[in-house]
Amino acid sequence: MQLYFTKEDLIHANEEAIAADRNRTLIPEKLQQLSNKNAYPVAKAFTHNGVEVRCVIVVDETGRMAMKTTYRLPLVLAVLAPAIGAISLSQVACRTPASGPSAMALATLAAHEGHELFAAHCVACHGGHGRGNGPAAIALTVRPRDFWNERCRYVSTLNGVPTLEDLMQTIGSGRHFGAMPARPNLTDVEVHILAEYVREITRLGWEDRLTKEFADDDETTPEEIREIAWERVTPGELAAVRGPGLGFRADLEYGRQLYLEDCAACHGPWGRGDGLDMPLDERGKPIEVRDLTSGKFRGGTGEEEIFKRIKCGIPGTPMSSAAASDEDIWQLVRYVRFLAGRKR
Amino acid sequence: MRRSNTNRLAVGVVALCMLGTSRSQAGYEGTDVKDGGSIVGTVRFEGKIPKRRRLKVTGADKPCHSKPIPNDDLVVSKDGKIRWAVVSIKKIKKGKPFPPADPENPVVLNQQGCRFRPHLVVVPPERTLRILNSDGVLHNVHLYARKNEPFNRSMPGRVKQLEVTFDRAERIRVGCDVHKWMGGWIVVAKHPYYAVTGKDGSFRLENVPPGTYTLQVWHEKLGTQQREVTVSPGADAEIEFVLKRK
Repeated sequence: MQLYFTKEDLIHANEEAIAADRNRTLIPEKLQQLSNKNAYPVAKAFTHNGVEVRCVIVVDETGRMAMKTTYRLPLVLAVLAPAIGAISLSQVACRTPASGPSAMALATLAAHEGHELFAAHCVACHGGHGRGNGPAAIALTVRPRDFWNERCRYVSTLNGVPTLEDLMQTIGSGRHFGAMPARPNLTDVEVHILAEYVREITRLGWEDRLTKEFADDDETTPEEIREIAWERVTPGELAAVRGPGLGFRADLEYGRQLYLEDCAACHGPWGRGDGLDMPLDERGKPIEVRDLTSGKFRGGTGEEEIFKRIKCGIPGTPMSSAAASDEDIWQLVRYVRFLAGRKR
Repeated sequence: MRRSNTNRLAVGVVALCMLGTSRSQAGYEGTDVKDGGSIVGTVRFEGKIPKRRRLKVTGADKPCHSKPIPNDDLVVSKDGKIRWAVVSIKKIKKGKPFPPADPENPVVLNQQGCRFRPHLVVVPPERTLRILNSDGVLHNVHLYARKNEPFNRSMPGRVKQLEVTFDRAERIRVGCDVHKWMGGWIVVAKHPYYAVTGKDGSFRLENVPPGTYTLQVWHEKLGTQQREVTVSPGADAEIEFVLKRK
């Protein structure tokens, strides 16, 4: 099956990224190339069984974009290639790298109802298997989520697993200040199906990863791994978002005190996101500590959303779930909004 | 894994229906051990004995600067004995029961002087692990669990303790994102036959039913190694593991 996505999708996705970061000159250049030429820069190049494989983005005659694989063989191999199947391997290599998902997992995904929708709307950035390595990913300042290996960030549960609503909100309304666009052209049901699909990728990702990790451990059974993978996508108790309650009064001094105790170590004394040197996510990749004064919160700028981020933390990042009481979290929410206040 | 006071009913019921027993202790039965023997031994390091480095401490938190912080991830004595290695019996199905739970004195992991004390704790599944913050500054308890629920909770200075339980046996790395040098391990035991080597690299497993077992040693930097061992009634089976850098 060929995975296609429209050029408009890609450009729209990139526009958001540019809006988020105008200083990066890389993106306009990439866009220029995308809109002017028929052949695009190499999205990925690697060597597989002695075969040099290049994945190139092309536009076909109908104006749709696709990933095309080219390969170059050393002379000796060229003779033997048909025999060892190197060519057939390399043809699928752009989509299934050697270290990638198991064939079983791919078959499960291909049979899923959301497969076509995902191929139509998500692969440009998130890649064919949701591994965050779509052709547009190289041009994006905010890395597309790798559903396979990462945990979803914006959750409303205490165990850090997104609910269906969390996923649907991300897909339907998009995420600010990155490339993830809103999808007004999708129906609610389609968004729902996509959310289920993303959850399925996450589950298979856990299954795959744990299988590899515990391959040497003869005391871990495949059944146990499957059970764990299911648990990792089963949302737990919801963070209670009831509003601050009657008689609540934001107390700037108290809020500041809480902020200094609970948040300042990473977000800095004045919320500028300058508290940590070189923060890393759970996979050891550099990430940003949010500059709270910017008022740009990817999880949403509403009070309830900020409450959830503080209460549940942001899985996969250093942002930990709060030990503070709900009342205190509301004080923090108000203080965070105060830090992001208007310019005078 | 979840906090002890949160709702674990749903998952628990499902697990019970599926396995007919608590999943964490599935496959292990605690009984009276007659004529048990012991396994004693040491874990030795082969190669040039590494020096214990002082970790680079950054930030302005005072408790972190009160004492130099040595690295705990590879502690080898002058005569080459390895500390913080975990020795356990593999695939043992039956043996002594876990010691009874003592709610007053659970296993404790303390954050003290911006260091996890002890560096490594062994805790039975579904038993409370008490995590303390003696420092009075913000730490975040970041558990890189795979089989258990991943966990990351802030512990500001005013929060002195936190209690967690684990469902499944595994080795969990613990870190703190505020103080990146902090590192520790929580080993959730499958059965009571787990031992951690002391400063002299020695360990002792007691009351083991007679028989032949595979004994495994694990060290965070040096990996795992397995050896066969035969336990006779009332006797000490001696064994020495030799680990080297991978």
